[in-house]
Amino acid sequence: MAQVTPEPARDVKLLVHKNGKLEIQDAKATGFAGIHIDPDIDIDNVAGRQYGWDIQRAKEGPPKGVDGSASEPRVAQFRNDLFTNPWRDAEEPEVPVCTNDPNRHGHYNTLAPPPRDLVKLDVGFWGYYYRDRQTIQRDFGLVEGHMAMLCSFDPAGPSESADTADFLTDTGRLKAKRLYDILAERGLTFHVNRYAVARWSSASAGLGRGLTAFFSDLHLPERWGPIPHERDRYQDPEGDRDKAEDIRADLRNDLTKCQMANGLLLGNLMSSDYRDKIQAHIAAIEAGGSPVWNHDTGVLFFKSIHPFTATQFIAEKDLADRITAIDSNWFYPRGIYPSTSDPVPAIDLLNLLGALHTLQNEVGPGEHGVSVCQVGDLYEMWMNREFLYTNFPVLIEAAISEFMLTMVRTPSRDHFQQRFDRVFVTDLQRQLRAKRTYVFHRWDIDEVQMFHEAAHRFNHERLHGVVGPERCSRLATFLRQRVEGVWNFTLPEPLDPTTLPANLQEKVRAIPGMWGSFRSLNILKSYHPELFDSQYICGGAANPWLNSEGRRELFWNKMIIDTFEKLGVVRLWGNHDGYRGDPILSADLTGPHAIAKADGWWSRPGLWAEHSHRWDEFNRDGMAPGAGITNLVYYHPAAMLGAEACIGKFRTSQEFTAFQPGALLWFLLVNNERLTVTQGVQQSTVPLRDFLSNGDRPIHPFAIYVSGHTHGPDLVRMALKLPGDP
Amino acid sequence: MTDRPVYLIRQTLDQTHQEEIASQPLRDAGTREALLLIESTQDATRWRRTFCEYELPPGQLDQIRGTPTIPRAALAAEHKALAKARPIPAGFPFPCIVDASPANDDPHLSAGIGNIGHQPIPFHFLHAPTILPIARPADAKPDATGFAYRAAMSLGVVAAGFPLAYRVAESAPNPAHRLAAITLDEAPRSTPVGDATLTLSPSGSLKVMWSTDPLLPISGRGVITLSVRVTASYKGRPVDVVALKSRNAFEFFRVPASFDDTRLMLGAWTAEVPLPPLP
Repeated sequence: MAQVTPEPARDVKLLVHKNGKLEIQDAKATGFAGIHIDPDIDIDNVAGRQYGWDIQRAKEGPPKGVDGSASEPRVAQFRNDLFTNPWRDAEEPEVPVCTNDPNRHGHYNTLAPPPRDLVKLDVGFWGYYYRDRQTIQRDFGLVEGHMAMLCSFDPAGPSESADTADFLTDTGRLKAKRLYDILAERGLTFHVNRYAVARWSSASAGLGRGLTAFFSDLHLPERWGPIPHERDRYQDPEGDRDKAEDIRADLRNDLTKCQMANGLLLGNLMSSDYRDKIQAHIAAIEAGGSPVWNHDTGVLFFKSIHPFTATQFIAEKDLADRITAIDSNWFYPRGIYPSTSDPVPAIDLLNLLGALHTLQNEVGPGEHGVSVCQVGDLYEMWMNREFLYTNFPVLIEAAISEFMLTMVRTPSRDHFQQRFDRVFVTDLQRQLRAKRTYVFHRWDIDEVQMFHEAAHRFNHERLHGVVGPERCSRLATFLRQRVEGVWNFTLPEPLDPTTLPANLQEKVRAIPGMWGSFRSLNILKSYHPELFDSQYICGGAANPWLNSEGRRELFWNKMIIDTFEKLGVVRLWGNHDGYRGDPILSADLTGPHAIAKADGWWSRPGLWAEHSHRWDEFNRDGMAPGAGITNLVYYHPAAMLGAEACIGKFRTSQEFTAFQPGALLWFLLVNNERLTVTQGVQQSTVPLRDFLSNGDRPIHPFAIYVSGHTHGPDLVRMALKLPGDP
Repeated sequence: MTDRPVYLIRQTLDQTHQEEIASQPLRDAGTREALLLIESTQDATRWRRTFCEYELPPGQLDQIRGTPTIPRAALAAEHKALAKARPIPAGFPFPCIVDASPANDDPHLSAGIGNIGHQPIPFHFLHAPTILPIARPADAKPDATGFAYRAAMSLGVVAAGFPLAYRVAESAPNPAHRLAAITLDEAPRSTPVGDATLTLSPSGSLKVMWSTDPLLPISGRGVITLSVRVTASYKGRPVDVVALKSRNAFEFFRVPASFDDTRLMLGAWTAEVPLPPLP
């Protein structure tokens, strides 16, 4: 990575007009000025329900009849309060002051009234996926004191131009500087790409002196099928290896194509009958049989039949599925062969987490020491999987327009599909689709459009009754299996590339980051030998399971998850692993599995963190479209993620239409003490923030909002101008 | 500037679609009547149209003409049921957004957020008012009868996009109207899709009468036919199948009706009000 000079956060101006229209002025938002936030928005749907809050009460006042008094809807007042001065401070005799330019870190002497602004830190992404295979994303965020920093890890180590080290020294970020030094001692480094200082105000007053590290989406995949041993694969009777491989490849092509929509106009010429024949054959093998698959190639006089035993058939299926999974996973890069991968993103992350652990041992954990938050999508639980909220009660039938969904899927030339597990299908699905647990089964667009209830949003006892105990139990088991699938992911350790033949060395060099993975591995082994204990070796150290290349494989995902736990990580759920926070689905996550459970949000004085998908109309918890689109990405990563004209720009537009307005809305709701709720027998009036706090999870005023979800690292200072402001 | 014209569309369709190599072709033949609501917004950079169609069962139009207000939700539910029952798409199955330049160059489906999404116009939208033609080029030279020029757009068939070229002969019967006679080029166009090559063979012509203020179609009629041939080699066997054939004879009329987000107002369109003359 090139050396990076830290730059101030991008400035975004948000003008709230009297009519409620929100105008976003962001240099990055060409064509998106004048985004409208409806002040009469259904706040429960957008902001509240995700976490089970009843924000509507703040809008409507006490429910009619509870205390015998009439209830006057307070919508107009709420709207006025929301967009007026959000700080009680301005009405108080003591007005906080701050420096006039918070980004001028060497200049603290000039005082000014507190402007209203919010620092929004999107901590990006860590890993690889199709769109970004040409670059490495190693994003993370640091917040120390009032300063938020958008950072990137660099396994190449510090260069002579130590801009980040100087910056951290100059700004007095002592803990971040110590992290830098620990990494430098190990031949590693990180860069501060952008920074922003939260201005002094009542919202930022609680920010302590500790260092908090934020990690975003990892999408750790479930275990892939093994690369089959040559002895288990189809062989040509005459010993022609090339001919055998051609025939195997033809079967693998069929096994891949049968999982996609067929049709002449789609360019997939496989017949439905042939597709069903493949499904029936797989079902027969899964039932314990040993049927022979007669794979035919050629026509007329050149037609020949190639019998695949059940083992040989499954070997090609495993390989076909593994290649599809590697191409579409978002964390590990494709290796030098289509069926291989490399754990380099895991090794890099473990090196950084290890350094954080060393620092935490030095300065202690918690608010004044070192803390770590993972902001969701740690686990990948959607890709090529059944959407677990199918058949849950529906909140909105057509939450996304059919036109929009059609536009999104068009680059794939495929249709939406569910991936039904062989066991966990409903009785109705069992009747209709039990035959299609592997091959394509279309997901009706009416179902893809649905917004379902999720138990972490609502009274889960009620939902439990609606969904039914048997299905709830099956779903909980299913979630535990997905968690275990992620934990059980293995890959071999990287090889020393200099020992490879020249042609393979060339291939390794062509994959970003892979040449250095052997060096990074050795650093990790030197400083964290405990990660190479028997528990992380597939089969154990004494008798390790060996893959078809005769190499042992390690549980890289489990290493990451356990290292996060050692750091006392704050676990948040994202859209791809939202099931982790659902009381119905996570019921089986007990004992050692409990570390897979997650919260929706994290509040600390001055700081708010969440995945932020509650602002995403496609991906809120319970929304089927996100899961449907993810399955399209599974089969068509290049078309779907490469279709920048559609998906990429859509993501960019969401920043201005959803995520910035969403963060602003939440900022106003939490920090504005004029927003109150009347509650209890005494009809006491409390700030909305206190009303939403429950028990040991208080919600604090905040000035820094940390999120993930978009995979686009960003740090902006959102300056607010509200009606009546000068 | 935003206009909200309402059109009555009548079609006689004869379409066949063979889904798989050995499957029996599906056929959809018969007449179709629908109301098409267009929200048309033009500014200096873009002409955006949101099309929302309501197919009407036979006889329903006579029942609803002259009705002051009709909830659009009821019409939408009926339209959705009728659209889903069709084996081959016809018209607009759901509300769609089409963007183009102010001169109607490069009309395409758009996701409607900023400039996002760019998909070809589906073949079953081609007859809809305002899709064809583009505005006359500034450098077009008039002859004795008016202007003649050529234009092109992208046409979508399922997931494939094809270039579609056409000729326009434009005349002005009076200052308030323009008549565009459009003839599709019949040259076949091929494009690879997945494991196959798809070849589109279009033909047909249509006439559209436009008002000049606002610049919107008043009426139109024509016949558009197209076929899509699929050629491939599948498991060593040659495949050569005409997968789609469509003949669409249509006419449309702007009608005195208006609409808002939830209601369609047909009060002014009583049985006594004649339809505009066909070009």
